[in-house]
Amino acid sequence: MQLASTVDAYLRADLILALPGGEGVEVEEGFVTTLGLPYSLALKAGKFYAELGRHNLLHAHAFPFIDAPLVSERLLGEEGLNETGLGLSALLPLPWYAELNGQALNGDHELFASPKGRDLLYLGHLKNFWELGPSATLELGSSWAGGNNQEGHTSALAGVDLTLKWRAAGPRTRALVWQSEYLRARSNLPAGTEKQGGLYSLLQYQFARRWWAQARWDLVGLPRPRGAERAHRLSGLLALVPSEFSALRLQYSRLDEGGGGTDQVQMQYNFTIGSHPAHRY
Amino acid sequence: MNYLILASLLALGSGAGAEGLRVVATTPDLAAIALALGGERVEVKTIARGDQDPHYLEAKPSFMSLVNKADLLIYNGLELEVGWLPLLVQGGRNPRVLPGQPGNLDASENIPVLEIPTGEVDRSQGDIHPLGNPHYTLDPRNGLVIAGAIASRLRDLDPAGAEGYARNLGLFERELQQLLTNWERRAGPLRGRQVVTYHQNLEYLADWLGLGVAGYIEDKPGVPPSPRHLAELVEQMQRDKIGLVLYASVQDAAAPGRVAAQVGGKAVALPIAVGAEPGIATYPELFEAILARLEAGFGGG
Repeated sequence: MQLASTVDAYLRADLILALPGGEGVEVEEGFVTTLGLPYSLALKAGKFYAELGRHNLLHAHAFPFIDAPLVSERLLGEEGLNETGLGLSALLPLPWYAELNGQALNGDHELFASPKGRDLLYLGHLKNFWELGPSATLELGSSWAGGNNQEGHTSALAGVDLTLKWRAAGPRTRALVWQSEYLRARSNLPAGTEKQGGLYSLLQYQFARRWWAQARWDLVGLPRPRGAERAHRLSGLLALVPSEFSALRLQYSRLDEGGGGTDQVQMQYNFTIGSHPAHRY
Repeated sequence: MNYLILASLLALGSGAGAEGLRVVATTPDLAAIALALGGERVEVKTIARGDQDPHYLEAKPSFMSLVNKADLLIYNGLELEVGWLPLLVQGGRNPRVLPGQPGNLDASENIPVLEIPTGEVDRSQGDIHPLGNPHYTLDPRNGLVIAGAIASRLRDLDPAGAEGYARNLGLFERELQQLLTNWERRAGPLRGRQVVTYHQNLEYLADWLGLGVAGYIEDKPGVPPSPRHLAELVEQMQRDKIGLVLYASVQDAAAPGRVAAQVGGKAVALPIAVGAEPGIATYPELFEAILARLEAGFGGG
């Protein structure tokens, strides 16, 4: 459930509630953002998805596939990196769109669960965006995060993301999205340093007004922790989108890990009610 | 000396320097009017192109960069841009163009809005606009209202250019008034004729020219046509002897073409925004093109 409103001329508030399994209400995100700070700055405070690449910013209902990429699940967990804190971002005075984001978060995430309350997780993200002619765009981003883990040593995350989008001009609704991300984590533990990384690459193609066909490739174990196996997953998805307010999706995935394969078929119906949502690009 | 400093500070504050006032308009019609009024004192950028449907625009970060640098943001309002403008204003983080500021102009102020829904509104009726039909720039009489509002705002933001804005407004109004008389005379024979349109985006045009809109290709606003609805529509057109289907050139030509063929009529694509087709660069040129297309459509049928 999403509530968004401008508080006054200076602040906008967003509240996103989830009803997980019918057991109470959970605040997925709840934050305020400034609208009119000078020098193209914006301040964000509250509980929100950390600006780590592209996928981590999405709510489960807006995922391009029914499940999260394997690398997000394995490194960040089911919930992603979603913490309470403060963020400051600036639009850089460059000829293209360049946004620099710095966030200080109270990390109780597994990677950064320092027992000391004053240990924060610090995160930086640079997002670059270009228009490639009238129908295509390119986004290139990089992220870093660092903080103390539960052993009192440091943990760090680094990632890059690349997104190409194309949408046909004119009345024909054809669109293509190619989005890829690489993410790696490093944890310094008493027993040594543990490293883990992975990537995903996905294609979404709108081949008719109401239809999307999608494919995704996942890989984790680049690098891989000692004793762990590399895992691959291939997924295909077909979506029927009658209007911008609802979608019916069917997904097939095959996961290969440690010599064994697992097949999975998932179906999902998504809908939006209430005020007309504005979509992040 | 003090006076000089004050003047340069004012120039800085309003953003009106050597490079002129930076105007960002969400639609090409508003941009064309702003350019006609601002002339060389303004630099006008448009967010939606004429060949795009402004309902379905995406909030590209590059648009946020435009909003970020704007001195004046002119938008259509009536929720036409509801799917993307809030994100652009937030991402643009420009205090000059926030609602309530002189740099924020909702062009629908003072427009006599058509089709304001009465009673309960929900989405089973399709993607309808709770504040009324937002496609008001397709009545050139509204162009006069919009021009007045934009000129007055340009004057507020850039007092040094007031004289030029007033002169340009006078020219714009005189030209449009003369053309209006001419267009209305040419469209006289069309008054009272019935048409079918694709979407509810030609109501203002129809209202101005006295055309009757008897039905829509779409089931409901924003909902693609179903075969059953089209069959009923064809039946209705045959019964009432309606032969002309009008659709915007940004919309899919297939369904209007099929329906027109079934009733032995015509489907005519209308440019519904400045820039929708080559050769339509100004607001008056838009109506010249529409009139020519309507005359050809009715003339042959």
